[in-house]
Amino acid sequence: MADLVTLFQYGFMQRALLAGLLISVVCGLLGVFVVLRRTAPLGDALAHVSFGGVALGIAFGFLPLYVAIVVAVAGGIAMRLLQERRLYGELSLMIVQAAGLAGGIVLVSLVGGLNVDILSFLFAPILTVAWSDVTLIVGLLAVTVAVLAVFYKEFFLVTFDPEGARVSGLPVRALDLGFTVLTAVTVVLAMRVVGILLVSALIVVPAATALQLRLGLRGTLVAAVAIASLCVAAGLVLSVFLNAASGGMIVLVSIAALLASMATAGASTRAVSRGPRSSQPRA
Amino acid sequence: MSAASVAVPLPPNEAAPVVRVRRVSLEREGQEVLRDVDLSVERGEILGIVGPNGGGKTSLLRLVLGLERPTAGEVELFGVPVSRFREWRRIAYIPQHATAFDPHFPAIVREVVLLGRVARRGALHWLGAEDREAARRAIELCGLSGLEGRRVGALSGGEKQRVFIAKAIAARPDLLVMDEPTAGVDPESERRFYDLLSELRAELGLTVILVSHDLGVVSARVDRVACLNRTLVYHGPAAALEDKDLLGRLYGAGRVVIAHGADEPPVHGH
Repeated sequence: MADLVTLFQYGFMQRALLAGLLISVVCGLLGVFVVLRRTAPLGDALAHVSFGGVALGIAFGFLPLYVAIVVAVAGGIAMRLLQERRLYGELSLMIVQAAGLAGGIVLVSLVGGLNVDILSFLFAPILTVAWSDVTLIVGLLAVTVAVLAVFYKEFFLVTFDPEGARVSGLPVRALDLGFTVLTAVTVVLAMRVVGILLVSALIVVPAATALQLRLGLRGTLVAAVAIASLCVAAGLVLSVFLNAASGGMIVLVSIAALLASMATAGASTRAVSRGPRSSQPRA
Repeated sequence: MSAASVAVPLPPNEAAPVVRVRRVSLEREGQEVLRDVDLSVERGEILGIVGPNGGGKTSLLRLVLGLERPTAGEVELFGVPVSRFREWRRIAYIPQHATAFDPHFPAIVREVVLLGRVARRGALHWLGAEDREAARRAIELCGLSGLEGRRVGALSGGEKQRVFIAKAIAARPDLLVMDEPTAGVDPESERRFYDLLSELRAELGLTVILVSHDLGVVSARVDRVACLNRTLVYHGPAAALEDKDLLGRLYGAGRVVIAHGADEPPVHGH
């Protein structure tokens, strides 16, 4: 316990935890919609695209995180446009993802191979988070949470009943595009915590865990934020004590939480199905 | 989006029929789906659209809802051509298989019914006490009191269907459009469903269009019937469906028509 207190007296640990907890809020909120809309592959594809952005930033000496956000948002919009041209859904993701990845690989080779900067984006540099990163994260987090809060009911309606939403005059196309942009921004923010390769896990796994709790949508969103925060904090602390990679540790803790919730949910379902029927049709 | 965005919006004409379909034809990839359909739905009417699978029932609904455009002819809503109609919040639509959504979807009855208010308020509006009251009233009207906190996925088929109706009427629409609302619902729930429709019409002055494969029940429970088999075979009072010749023409010779379809297995898809 004393160790834990000492640990958080270090500035790098405070920044890491703060950044991690802030990002868990966005990942938890957005992740629930990502899972329900079945757009998890979109997050993964955008993470690969953002690799191109990071490489571009490093190659030309701009702030990689900012360039990555611009590239990821542009990539997300490109995917949507390709989908609207009736290209098969997965194919449009794959093409844009490949373009980002290939561009990144070429840039990396041009500037002289994988250097420490690029490796750090691939494998979770959260303990190296600087105050300037925290400022960026806070700013984008505020925007993302505000957009989700304002359009929460519209995203809910479009996810739950897309056809009904279209008939009632809701701007479904604009909402879809907005959702893609939010996902792109979240992916880049989450990249700072767990690294490019594990971004979509941080978005999707805590949300999947929250869905096991069988709450309403509002309850599920709150639970997803809480679970993501706990997993990030626990993973971070464990990684420091074990001197292991923090990104990998956070994702392993998240997956452990998911498995535990699935086991609990499975047990309670079996108990219900053995017992008397709980939902008799009302006469 | 539902309609052409270039057309100038027109205000509705309250004296016009709720829906008017004028000489509408629809072709899809060279295949004739509908030919020369004329049809009107008056205020407060319950219209049943029946016909064989592939007869164009769902396509006609899609034209009425502005989700598709006719190859020829015109559809008017409240006296306004669909392309210039803007008051979509006056129309609620419950698609086919609406109740067959992901049973693990994390939504409770109260949340889903409240969603109906989103359409009425439009984007960028918070839902307030008035909306919660409208949702509560819709829940009560649909006999769902006591189930507000239950997950929709855990309800029975009939209950789920009433949740969707409550969501639809929470928006206080003038027209409710339903595609195969009783497919996969047990006979008792089906009876309750039609009772509820009659109550809603009396209470809210609702106009209803419903599509069904189930001739027998529809003819007993709606005001007028439109029999559709690419062309409109019959459009008039429901009582005429007793006419066996008409049924023969509608379904083609040699087909056995089961008039009381409650025992039929649910028909899915077209």
